[in-house]
Amino acid sequence: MRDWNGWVREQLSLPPMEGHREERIIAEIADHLEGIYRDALSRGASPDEAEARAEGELGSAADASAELLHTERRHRSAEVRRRLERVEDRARRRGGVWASLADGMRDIRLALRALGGRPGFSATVIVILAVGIGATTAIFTLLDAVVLSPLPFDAADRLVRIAHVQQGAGGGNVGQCAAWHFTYEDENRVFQDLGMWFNGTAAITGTGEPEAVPLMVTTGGVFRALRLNPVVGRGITAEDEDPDSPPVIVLGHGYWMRRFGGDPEVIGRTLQVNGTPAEIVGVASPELQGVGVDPGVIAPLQVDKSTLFVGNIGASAVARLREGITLEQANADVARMLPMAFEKFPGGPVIESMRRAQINPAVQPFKSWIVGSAANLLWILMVGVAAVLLIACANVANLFLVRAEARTGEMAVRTAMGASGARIGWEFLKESLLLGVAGGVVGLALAQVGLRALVSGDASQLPRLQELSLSPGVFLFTVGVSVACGLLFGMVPVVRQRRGDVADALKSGRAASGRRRGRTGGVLAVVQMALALLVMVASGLMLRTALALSSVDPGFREPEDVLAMRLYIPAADAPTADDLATQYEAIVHRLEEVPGVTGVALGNAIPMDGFGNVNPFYAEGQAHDAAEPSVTRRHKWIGQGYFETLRIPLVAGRAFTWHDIHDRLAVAVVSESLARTYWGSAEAAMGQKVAARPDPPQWYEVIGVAGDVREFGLSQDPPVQVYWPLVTLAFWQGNAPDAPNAWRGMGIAVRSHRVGNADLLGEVRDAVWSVNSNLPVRNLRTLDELEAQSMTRTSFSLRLLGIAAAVALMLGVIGVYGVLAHAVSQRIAELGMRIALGAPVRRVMGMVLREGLTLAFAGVAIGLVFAVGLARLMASLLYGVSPVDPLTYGAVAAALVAVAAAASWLPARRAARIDPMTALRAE
Amino acid sequence: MFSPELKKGSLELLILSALDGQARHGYEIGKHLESRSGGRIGFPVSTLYSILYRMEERGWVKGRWVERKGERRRCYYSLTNEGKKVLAAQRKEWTAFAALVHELIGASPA
Repeated sequence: MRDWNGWVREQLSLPPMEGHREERIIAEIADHLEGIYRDALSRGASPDEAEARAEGELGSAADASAELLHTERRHRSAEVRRRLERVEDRARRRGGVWASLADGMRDIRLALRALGGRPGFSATVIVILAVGIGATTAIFTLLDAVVLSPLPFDAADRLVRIAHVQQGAGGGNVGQCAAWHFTYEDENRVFQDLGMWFNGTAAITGTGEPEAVPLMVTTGGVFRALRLNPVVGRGITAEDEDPDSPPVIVLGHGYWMRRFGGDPEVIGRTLQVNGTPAEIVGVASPELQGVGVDPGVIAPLQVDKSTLFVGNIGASAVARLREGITLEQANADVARMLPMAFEKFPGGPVIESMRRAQINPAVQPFKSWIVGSAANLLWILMVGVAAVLLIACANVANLFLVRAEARTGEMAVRTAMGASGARIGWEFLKESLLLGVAGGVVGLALAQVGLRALVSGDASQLPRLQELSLSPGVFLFTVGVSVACGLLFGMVPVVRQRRGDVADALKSGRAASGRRRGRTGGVLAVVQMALALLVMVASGLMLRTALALSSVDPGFREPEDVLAMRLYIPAADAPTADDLATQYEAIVHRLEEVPGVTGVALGNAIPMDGFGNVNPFYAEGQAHDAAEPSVTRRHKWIGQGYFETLRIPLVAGRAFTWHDIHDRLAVAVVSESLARTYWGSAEAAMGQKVAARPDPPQWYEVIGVAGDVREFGLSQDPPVQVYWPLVTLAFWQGNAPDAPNAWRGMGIAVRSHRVGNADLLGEVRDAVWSVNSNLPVRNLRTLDELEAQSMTRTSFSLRLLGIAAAVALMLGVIGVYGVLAHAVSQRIAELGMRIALGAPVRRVMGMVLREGLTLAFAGVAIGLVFAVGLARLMASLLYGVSPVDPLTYGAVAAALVAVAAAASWLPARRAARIDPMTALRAE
Repeated sequence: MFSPELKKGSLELLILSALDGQARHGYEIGKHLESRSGGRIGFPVSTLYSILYRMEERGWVKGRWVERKGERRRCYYSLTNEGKKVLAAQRKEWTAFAALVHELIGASPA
């Protein structure tokens, strides 16, 4: 017996259906075929003939399966519809709000069905909107987390950063120093709480591989000002700040979770921090990250006030203003207290230069300090994506206009029969709203994907990213934007469909309304052109910036072959400056022996690594008037081979050798710009005397002049800089003549063609550990990466604005094309008549082209005005290009007009090819 | 055989009338129509069952699984009350339509 069931199942290959309906279908058809087969047998056919007959009855299996599936789908949707109708009926019977709800549901259902009937149109609109809403939501999420939302502290608007500015030559921002801090603590009338802290690095040793973690050395006031309580144990107390107290530490929340798995039993244990045992007394709140650092270890700032002096101004400071105190009042109070610090803490090596430095207060909102220039960047991106979204809406509005036109007659009849304007408006709006919401839902998903990519890539340098989340604010924003979009493009046809138009529409059909649509469409096209120009100018300026930066000479060469790292040798391992220098030199020599290494640079900072030192600077013979502020310059301490390894050219003289360093020779190298500033040329600088302390000066002789280096990144001018030997004698004011100075934390750069090879990293670590196995090797990065990092904001904004500009251009051009193409199709009769009456084809084409170009020029003119405004906001992001760069504006405007002309060409050609007879007949 | 266009509009009516007064399973419906028309009306199985399912979904016919002696389990279709009304209405409409067509094309009703 033949298995018809199996044969039918195989032929039809139906997908699984609700309630195993496919089984029923297969069984019935198999039964049917078997009937035919038996019938044929009983009529005397051979089994083969009978089988052939039955099989033939199924016909084409593909067609049969498609036919059955089609029925099945209709069955399912009908089932859903019936259920919904039943629910609606029940609701309507309950009356009141329920009845309105039921009506709303029916409206949505009908609109959904109408949209489902035009899947191409609906999908196009949803995709366009999803891209626009997705991009806008992604950037808004960043903007919300970074700029708009308050810092994660109680009453955060009363938090300020205490900082100062130095007037005059070499001036600039200076942070906080301990002497000022304690003066303000005692004397202020404006702060409720205040604290200061230094950021550094701590080597955690004694437990396996040495580890470097970010260190925060702070007063307890920081936690009081921020109103942060420890999650376990206690915070930093006044007793901890006493220099005679035993060393204690508070763990950072992230480090506690990572290293100790969040174990509360960690309290009371001891960690080796920079070689000193310290007791863990607490764990800080995770919100501490809101100050822009994520310290692993927090130690009390212990200051001996009896020897404290005004100086060491690199600290960060936060304060909480008393209720009702303004920034102006706070600044005035700091200005009042600044002179008091000199009386409270007289003496110290730099008191004279500090007195001359003309320090002024610069108290600012804490949040604006944390957010910094990211606010500007994000607002510009927001404008860019919002422009793209508006262009997308204009495009969709255009699509809706065309559709609305097709329904003009129907709507006019309904109006004439007494349907209210609101009712008819709702007809359009419910569809556009639904599409807007659908676009929003897809957009929200796109935004999440996009955000993840942004945060792990280009945007990773933004502050406050740890606060990033899909907050209710972001959700509301997306809902609001989606509905607004739906209203925006839905309202355009509604507004145009005024009652006054009814008579026109009924009388003259499409001609009159077509012209009006042409006007509305024209306005939309102009808006699109203007917005596209805005975004293109912004991205053009970023492109010029990136080009300018890529041609900038950083001052060093072949950074891709240089591996940079940082080391910190704690006092326990090298108590004196001489020990430090010996150990660092030994590390350099071991690194030089690593296969493939061609040079090793040692310096307290490597270009663009974010470290550095700025201090007063004096040149012999250059009078420094006691009334003038002292001049500060960037100082660097280096070993032998620094310039050679980084390929920084020596303009004159020579670099330091290990002999100079061992012999403690008083020699210095200056940057070319410093040589020029003080002596006019590199040659003239040779043999000159320079010093870091004025009284009595400890002179160092200039033995070399090095090329300028962009120490702070490609977009920052190279600083005027002086290089000192790794170890200096009697360097600072107050140092004994034979007291050596050296730095504990140093940067090391290794040049090798093997950079990028994973083995090299291991060999470098081993070389360091062969000298001191307690040293964590951290911040391992190539110089190339450091350079790229200095361009992150440029490349981030360039990429995003570039994408936005491409989309804006594309959508804008489609908009212009759509308007013109439609205008031509509406005017076929008129244009045909003109041609029939003898108008030259070229003139007809010219007419259409002119119309397109008029739209483009109007859009460009309006766009230029807004672009200048946006570009001014961008000034801080630009480099080597003016915000009103005529070349960028000109090129973008020309490109836009050219593309608009090309988009007008197609409809114009179509107009020229109109056959007058056909056109007139059609009318 | 008639052209498919001609049959399209009448298949529902034919199937409904085949079930008038008697429940039949799918094969039986097809066979009934074939023998009544002398082999001049036939359609692919997939069409037959598509129409049956559609009518069942509209509530015009109802399928019931029955096991008879010596036979396998089969789905027998019968008219619902709604189906009977639809059949009556469609019959009336078809007769009127056919008469009109006859009149228009100049043939006399058979």
